[in-house]
Amino acid sequence: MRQDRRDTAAGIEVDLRADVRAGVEERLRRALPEVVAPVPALGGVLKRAVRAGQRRIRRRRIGAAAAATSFVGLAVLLTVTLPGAGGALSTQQLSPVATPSTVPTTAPVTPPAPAYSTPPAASPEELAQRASELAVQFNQALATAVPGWAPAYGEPLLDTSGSHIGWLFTATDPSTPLTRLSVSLTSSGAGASPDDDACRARAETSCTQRTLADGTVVISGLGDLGTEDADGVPVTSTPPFAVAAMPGRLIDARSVILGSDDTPGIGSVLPPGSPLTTSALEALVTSPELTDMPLP
Amino acid sequence: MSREDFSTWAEVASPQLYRIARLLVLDAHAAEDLLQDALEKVFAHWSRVDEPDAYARRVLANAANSRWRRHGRRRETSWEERQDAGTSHPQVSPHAGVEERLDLIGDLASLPVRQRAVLALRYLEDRSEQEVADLLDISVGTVKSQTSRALTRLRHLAPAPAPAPAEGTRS
Repeated sequence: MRQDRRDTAAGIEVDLRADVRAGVEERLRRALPEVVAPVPALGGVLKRAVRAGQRRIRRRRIGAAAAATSFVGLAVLLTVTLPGAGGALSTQQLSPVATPSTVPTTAPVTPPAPAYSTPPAASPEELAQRASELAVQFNQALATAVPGWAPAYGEPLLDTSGSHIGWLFTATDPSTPLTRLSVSLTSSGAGASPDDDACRARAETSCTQRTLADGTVVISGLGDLGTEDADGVPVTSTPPFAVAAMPGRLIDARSVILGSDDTPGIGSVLPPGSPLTTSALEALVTSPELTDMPLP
Repeated sequence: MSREDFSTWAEVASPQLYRIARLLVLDAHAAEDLLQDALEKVFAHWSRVDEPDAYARRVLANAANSRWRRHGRRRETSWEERQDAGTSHPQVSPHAGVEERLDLIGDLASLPVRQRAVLALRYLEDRSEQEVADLLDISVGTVKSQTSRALTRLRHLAPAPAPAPAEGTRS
């Protein structure tokens, strides 16, 4: 173990001997085709992809039409509202069949819904912009729950079909050890709730589950992250995690202690006094900023 | 380009795209899912895609990376599992080829998705560093560093050096 650590520190990771490198390359060229064989019949995959692609194109067209319609509707409302005195509108102005004998009355006009409440067919750029705006809201909660932690950036979460399903906020704190906190907010199915004993399925180092007064289920504890360093030395770290499940929403906060190259560092532990604790993450995933954050 | 063009292209391209997907996610069913997602995206953008082969590979790599990111952490294996998959295997076995393959899959699973993507394009498709960089939309330097890190982590795959001839041996 000690020798392996010295090797890593000495930079052997980037100084692979030419003959060893050539040997590994040759082995990969020979073995990779075997690893990925056999190739199954892919006709079904192709058919399903075409059908899904057609649905995607239809959704895009409908989304574009809906966006255009809402824009026209908004424009009409604004056009109609503006000539009215004090933001009010007479029924005569509204109704082309109003007779001159009708007594003019005024009624307040319901303001048009904000433009961002019509999200269909949001472009990747729009989603990215929205995520960065929501990161401000997220960082307020982060600063309260995990004081001193580096601020997060936000990005949209997409499922494999490209549909927008939520937001991901990532905050990597540069202090030692380098640690990354990732918090995802996703729409969960209506009525979906974790099992009575979700901890049993998680196989974490430690895990507790409780239900808050408002029905939110909170699962939290210490993770069990096992991998190897560049020299094949087993590395285990036990960073905290917390999950809050509520109707229609799942908030999942987890952390990874990093070494270099996005891999867990050797002997990774959070130092005593680190603000990143299980209770801090519980506070974060149940904070109003996150429980009220708009979801797709 | 028409839908018929897409079908013709996809029938030819799918087997190799599946192999890449398989290497990216290391699971046959997940690879089919990944391939289907990629083909769906190519189909939806078919009229605007100039180079479908390159576009499909980029989509595959990005989709695999997103899957990994959504899970929040790399694929994890217990030490016991690693032992079972690799070092605990006997040195001599009638099923050595199968075990070797399983060991390699276990080794590849320990790599980040991006490194697996680079390996797939470099050593499965035998593409140059520049081609890989263009396909994955990253710099050549990143391709080199990712390749180097991956090879270093897999360096035990190199054949053991031939034993030196014993001194004093007479022919």
